Amino acid sequence: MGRFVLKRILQMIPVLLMVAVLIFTILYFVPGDPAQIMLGSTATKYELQQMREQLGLTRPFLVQLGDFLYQTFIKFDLGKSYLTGAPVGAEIAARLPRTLILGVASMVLAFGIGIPLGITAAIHQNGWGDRISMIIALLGVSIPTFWLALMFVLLFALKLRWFPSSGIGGFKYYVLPTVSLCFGGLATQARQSRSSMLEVIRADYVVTARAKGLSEREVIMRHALPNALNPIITLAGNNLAVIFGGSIVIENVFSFPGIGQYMITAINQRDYPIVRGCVVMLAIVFAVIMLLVDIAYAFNDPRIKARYENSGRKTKVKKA
Amino acid sequence: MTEKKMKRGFKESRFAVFWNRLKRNRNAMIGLYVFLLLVMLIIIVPIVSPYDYAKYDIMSISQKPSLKHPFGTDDLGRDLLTRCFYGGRYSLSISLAAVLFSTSVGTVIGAITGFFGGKIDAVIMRMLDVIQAIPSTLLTIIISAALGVGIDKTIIAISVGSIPGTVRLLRGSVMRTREEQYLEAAEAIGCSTTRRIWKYVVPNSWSPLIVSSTMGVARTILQLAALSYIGLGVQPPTPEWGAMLSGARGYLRDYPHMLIFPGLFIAISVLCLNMFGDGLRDALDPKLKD
Repeated sequence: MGRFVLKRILQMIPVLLMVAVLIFTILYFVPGDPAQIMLGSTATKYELQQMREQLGLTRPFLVQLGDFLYQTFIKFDLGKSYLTGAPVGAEIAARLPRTLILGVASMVLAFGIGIPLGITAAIHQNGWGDRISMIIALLGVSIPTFWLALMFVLLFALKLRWFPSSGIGGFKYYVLPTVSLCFGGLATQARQSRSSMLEVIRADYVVTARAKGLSEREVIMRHALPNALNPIITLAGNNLAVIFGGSIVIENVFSFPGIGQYMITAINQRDYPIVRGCVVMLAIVFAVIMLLVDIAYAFNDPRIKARYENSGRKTKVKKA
Repeated sequence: MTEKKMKRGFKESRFAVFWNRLKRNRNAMIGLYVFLLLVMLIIIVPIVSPYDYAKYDIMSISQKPSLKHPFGTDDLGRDLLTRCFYGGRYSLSISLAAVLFSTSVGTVIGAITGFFGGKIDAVIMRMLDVIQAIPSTLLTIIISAALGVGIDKTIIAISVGSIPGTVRLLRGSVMRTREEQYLEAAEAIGCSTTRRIWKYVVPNSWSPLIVSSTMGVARTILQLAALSYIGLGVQPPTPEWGAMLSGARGYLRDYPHMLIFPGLFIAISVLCLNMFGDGLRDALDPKLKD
């Protein structure tokens, strides 16, 4: 297992580097002049040119790219905001925990409720519980996340006054963003878990297990579930991306001071060092979470485990 | 019977089996008919409506729903019912265009990478890994920020994120088709590589794309709305559903009807497409049903 984890971490590094290159390249071609943004419309041509040189914007593309990669990955410096001059790294460090809490809480809810819901629905296929939960799940994947959030604000914050509608503070401030963010992921997860389970439940080995007289509980827990879990984990990876992306929009609905809101504000102000820093940071966080999903997958799939244990043994044999 | 007729008869019967299966699925049919009704209304309502979708009316600003204005009016006195239906023209056609774009680009890349395999495949797949390492909403936001606002740019921005999925789906399917005997036969009678790919491999491999594209339109409508809501993509005063929500975000407390109706239009159209897509999947792959 250690070898598998190590291999996946090593694979992650070039991908992240390429992500940083891709992001830098996309944002390099953005219209608008940073010097103009910093100095305002009253600046003279000479001042603008001086500022561009000071920022290093007159250097060739590849030199700028190299400098960006060096600063980001070797010196861990994400640069400074064009507008305020505040270091981006510190600002992100202050906001990242909130975004993480929001994202992780939503994931826990989405998987913790969605997977068992889908599995029970599949076991009682066509029963009333199955029907009701699948109708709710269908609604869940069809309602726009941010609109659901707005409706939650309308009902629970403005009408009932149970929770605050925006900002940050204690536990209460996280409830509405988390619930509205998890809903879509929960619904998707329930639908996918149900179809994975349905596929497995009809397999020959499940029929065999029933035929040899195992109790229904044992058939499900020992034979069906472990096999259904692999596709469920794979699809959970896709859902993570959706929840993660959704959090950017949700943060804006609730004026929630996390990375997503910081980034969108920066995009509207054309403050690109912030945008670059946020995207690279989000990509790293996302990569780490995907790595954890992959490890969970490997733990549940004896084929992957066996491959790495065998190859380990082989090298030992060679050495001996 | 001539050979051409026989071929057509075979194709028709296969389609008939599929269509019969789909017709028996009540949910799928409800989804399809409601969606078609919505499309018809989107075409007709703005024409017959007594109100103009863009004309301000200072006398009827921010009215609650009434008989005169069933959905109420917005902050500039425009009739929301007319605007919601008119906005559907933007939301639906932009989403459809984006899916067509990503599906065609994905098909070309997927066919090439699946058919040739080897180094081309390895390089393209690594590139897709990089793109997929960024959550697609995030990628859409950045591309949209880089390209600027406008309908054509929005179409590109929302389609890029779904290209890798299409490529992977078609690639897998092409790799299975590649092993078929009729391709060996095609090679034996001297078909060119291009002809083999476009005439035999792609038509026999693209059926998984039907379901994914139907669901893709639904997903794209949601993405487009979210993008416009945060101020990128389509901008107010264009009555695209997400842009309408974005323009009315300040009125949630006092005039919630301005935010409820456009959102309902998004939810209903996406729901219909999802119901139809579920039915399509079951009809194409009946082993999941019952």
